[in-house]
Amino acid sequence: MLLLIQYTLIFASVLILVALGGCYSEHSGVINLGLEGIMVMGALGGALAMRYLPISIPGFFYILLVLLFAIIVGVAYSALLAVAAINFKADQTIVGTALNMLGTAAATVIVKAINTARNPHDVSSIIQYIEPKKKFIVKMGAFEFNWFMLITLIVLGCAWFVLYKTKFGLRLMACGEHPQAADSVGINVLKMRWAGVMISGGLGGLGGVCYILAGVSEWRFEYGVAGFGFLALAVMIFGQWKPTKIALAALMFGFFRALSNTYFGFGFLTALNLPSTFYNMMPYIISIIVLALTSKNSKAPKAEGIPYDKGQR
Amino acid sequence: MKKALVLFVILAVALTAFVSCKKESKATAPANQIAMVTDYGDITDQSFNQTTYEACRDYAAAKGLKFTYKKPTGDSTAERVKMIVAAIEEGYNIIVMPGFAFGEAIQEAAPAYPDVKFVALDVSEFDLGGKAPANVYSAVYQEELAGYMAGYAAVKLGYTKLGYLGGMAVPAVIRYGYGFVQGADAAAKELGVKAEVKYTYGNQFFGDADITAAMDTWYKAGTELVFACGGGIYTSAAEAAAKVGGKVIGVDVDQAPIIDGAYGKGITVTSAMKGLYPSTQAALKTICEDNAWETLAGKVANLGLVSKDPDLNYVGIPTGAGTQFSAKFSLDDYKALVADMLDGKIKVDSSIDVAPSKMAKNITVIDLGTIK
Repeated sequence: MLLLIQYTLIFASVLILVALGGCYSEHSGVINLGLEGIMVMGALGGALAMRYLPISIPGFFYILLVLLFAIIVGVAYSALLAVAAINFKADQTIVGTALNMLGTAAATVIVKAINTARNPHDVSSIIQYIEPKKKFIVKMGAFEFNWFMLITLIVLGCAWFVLYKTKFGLRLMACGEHPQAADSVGINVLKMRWAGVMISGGLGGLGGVCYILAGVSEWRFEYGVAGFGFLALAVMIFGQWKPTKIALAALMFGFFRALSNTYFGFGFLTALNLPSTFYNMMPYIISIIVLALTSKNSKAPKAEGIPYDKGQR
Repeated sequence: MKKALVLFVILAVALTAFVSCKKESKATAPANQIAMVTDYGDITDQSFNQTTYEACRDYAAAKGLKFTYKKPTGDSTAERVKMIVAAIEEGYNIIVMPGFAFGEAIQEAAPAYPDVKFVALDVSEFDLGGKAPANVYSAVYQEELAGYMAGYAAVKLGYTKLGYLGGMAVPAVIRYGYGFVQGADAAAKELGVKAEVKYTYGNQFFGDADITAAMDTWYKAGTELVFACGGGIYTSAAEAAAKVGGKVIGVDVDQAPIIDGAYGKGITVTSAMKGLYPSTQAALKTICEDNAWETLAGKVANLGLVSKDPDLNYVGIPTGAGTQFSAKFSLDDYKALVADMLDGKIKVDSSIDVAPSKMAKNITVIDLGTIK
């Protein structure tokens, strides 16, 4: 039972962080399909930080530094999307897809180069972080508390507050709904969109490092983040681009994901003899049903995916 | 911006220079040149691709032969054939291919290049369409024997709540697993104890949060030892084991130094090994030094036990520190086991097309399908 809660929370944390990233980007009017790639790069930043930071740094600062590196790398990587999609008005979905393909490949090449430089026979794309990982975990009896659970809660609160209660958030959303109108009252649409994309980069990066720390102590970068970026997009859409609903959707996805891995810890579920694929399917089936019933009043930002053109009305 | 541009140009020039270098060295040399093609894994899979790669690389380096490896861009016969042909056109005349997935690719490529020597590993006659072509040598391993020894040793050493975590359900992985179940079954019968094996596949050759969650569930439910059988999937088993003082069994090579070094001393009880490295090198030696390709060509060798001395066999468990021998199961007990298996007193079923529970008569096998 505790394991189920533990893994539900950690999977949900990853999904919430990344989906919130997507939420900010899309509310500013830029579709960010590149979340998967951004996660990989963020994970790379965090993993490299964990490899090179001296382990003697006290836990709190250590965690902070790792997060910082993940965010910086994520933001820097998402800037590629911002430049191409906002300044050069490129097709956002294509740039996002390119980011995904580039992310895993670039991370693999970088890690391989670093590993090979250290030891010519080591051509792997693996970074190990056994000791650093322990700093992220607090054992509470049988429950393993991961600091990311708290971080996610804080981020979620901030995301909600900023989006709905600050001038910045409301302006950001305006740029995703009707950028020309926003511009007419003096909001710099390009700047707002840049902000949206960079926030998504930072959150995506955080989610990436959270994912690789969720269950293992070494990560092989050629596997990317195993589709979690796309899952987060699904969570975002299912959550109707709203932070609170995203959190609930992420908890549901996380719950079924965790259940599919831990169900044989429950006697009555094992007795049902359902394959784990069944539990893996559940969130998607629920998504399809719910989305089919509610898609009429979809809350997608109206101007997302359309490059901003001042001359248009 | 300017700097970035300059950097880009420099990189571009450097890269094209690199590529053109490769093309120029196309000149055909009469000497043996070894090329390895990977299957859907990579040469860093901590499993058979990596071991094969290392065996070829080390052999080529020692003998001063040219060596390269190619990774198909996709997981299909067409892509694999493309890479084989590419290597041959670059002048490589010995092609080493690990993995049963090469069966069809070999059937296509081998007849077209009769002068090229194809060395396959883990590719059975069945995969080759019934018979090996005249310029193909394949080595398959009796993994079920190594799995049997590991399972037998585990129960003899006092572990009764076992788990089997396979990678993808490919023939070699299945044989390991079924052997493991049979070995545990035999030892439980001898000792008159009750034992259970939880049986699952991760459906991938690496560990992640999902697999770790499943392993956490096992260990918390009382599983004492998990046979982590498939590339890097051991990372999840070891991660979960380290939390609760559980144990693991390694695979393919003696993994005790790797796992214990990273996750804590004493986690690895033993490893079910197969001699991929020595047999690859032996095949290369036969070709390059003994000039005796004809003794291998057209054959599928079934490598298993050849001697009472465990260290000379192609399958087994470590005889040194890699196995936690004790009074309950000593090195001598292991040698006796090997002798009995060699004599045929102990028979191990090598079939892979039945349910795992069919492999045991005395112990409980809980078939949990796949995690993903």
